[in-house]
Amino acid sequence: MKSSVVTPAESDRATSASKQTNKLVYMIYVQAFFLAVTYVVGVWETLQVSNASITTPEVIEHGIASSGFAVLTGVVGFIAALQGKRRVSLLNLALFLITVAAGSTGFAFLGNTSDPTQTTITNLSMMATVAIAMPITGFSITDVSRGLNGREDEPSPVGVMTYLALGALSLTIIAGAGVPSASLYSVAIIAHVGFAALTVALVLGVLVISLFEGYSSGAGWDAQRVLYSLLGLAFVAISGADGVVYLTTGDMSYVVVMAEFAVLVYIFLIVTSGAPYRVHLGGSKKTQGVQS
Amino acid sequence: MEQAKLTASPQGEELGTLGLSGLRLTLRLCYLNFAVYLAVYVSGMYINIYITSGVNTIGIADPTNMIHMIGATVNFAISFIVMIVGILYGMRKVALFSLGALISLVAATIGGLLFLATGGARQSGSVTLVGGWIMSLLFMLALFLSYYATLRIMRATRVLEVLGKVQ
Repeated sequence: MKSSVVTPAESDRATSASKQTNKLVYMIYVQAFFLAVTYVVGVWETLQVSNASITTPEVIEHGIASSGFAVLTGVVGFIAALQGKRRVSLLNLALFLITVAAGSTGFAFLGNTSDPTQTTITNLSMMATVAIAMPITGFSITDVSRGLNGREDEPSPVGVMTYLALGALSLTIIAGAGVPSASLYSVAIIAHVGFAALTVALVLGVLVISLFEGYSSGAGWDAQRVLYSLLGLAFVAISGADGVVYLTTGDMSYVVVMAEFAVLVYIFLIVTSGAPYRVHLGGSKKTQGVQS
Repeated sequence: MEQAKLTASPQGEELGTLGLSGLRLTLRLCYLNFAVYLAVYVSGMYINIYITSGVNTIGIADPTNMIHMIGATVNFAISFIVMIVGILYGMRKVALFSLGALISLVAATIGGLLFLATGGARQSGSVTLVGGWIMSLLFMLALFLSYYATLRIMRATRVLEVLGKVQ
């Protein structure tokens, strides 16, 4: 039997590292929250606001939320670099650059709101950024919280399925951004419906695997993970139903509801990725003493 | 050894818990911030002298204006990162100076928006002019405060380097 004695200095360092990692997890949650708000206000602005200008309240709200997201992406990337989490750091720094570039298309749009080409470029670039950000924040939260929960091994089947669901949701959003453009409509609507169906299937997969994983390991299923994936499934189903209602009635308000429920699917998938999550405000105390 | 270096804080020095490699990385980020400050300053001067010439207006979608605004956004992001590093890793003065730079940048951005929204030229009226002055003065204040935050990080780096050589 191999035993190792943890010295007080090592214990302090482990506690300090655990606290810093915990703070990084909270920052990723705040980053995801800002992304969700940016998306919701952006969709609202696209569908409900005409003659946008720099002083339009929705434009200012969208600007503040997207700036918050960009800043937190930079913070998460840099803090992850300081903590030696190379993949999280590189992905978030790349996302920061993409977000800044997409933000510049917004400035160009505000200078020329009547040009349909500029509108399509702005919609697609911003939606693509949101869509790229979704799996990156999902990966970040899974990667960082895995270390915090003491599971340094490879991602679990639920984790992989959640990445896939986030990826499918991203593609659904990108395809959806192409629908308002007359030239892209036919391709975009088919791709949007197809990816939406895939997202529903994958979120259902997350729920099923969450249940099976617990049974196969003999430890019972994780209630937090099952609950969040169930909520994700409920919202993706409502979102899909809204899309169908829009196609049959043509009422644009259903598109707004569809988009805003889609962001709740993202939030629940993110929380499923981090689950089970526990508050570590005092840092881990399990590292003290003799471990065998 | 590393722990000893971190805890051996000479009187009055604020070393934090970041460690030498982390401090060096943060210092590089601060240097990048100054490069971006320079780009913001040069683009602002270019707009002032060559585009508006004090008479013409400038719109939000003008390429130089976009470079100027993106630069200011990156300045804000980097100053925010440095402030968070100061808070998380126990460097109070770095956090405070960076917070001051952030507040200045926010107020300068409001001045810039006022400038654009009320006409975009010096002759557009007194409110436009006030917006322009707020933007310019607070930009300089932000630069000054970021400089002090960088000096604190530089000093902590040098002290840790010396401690490393002594031990």
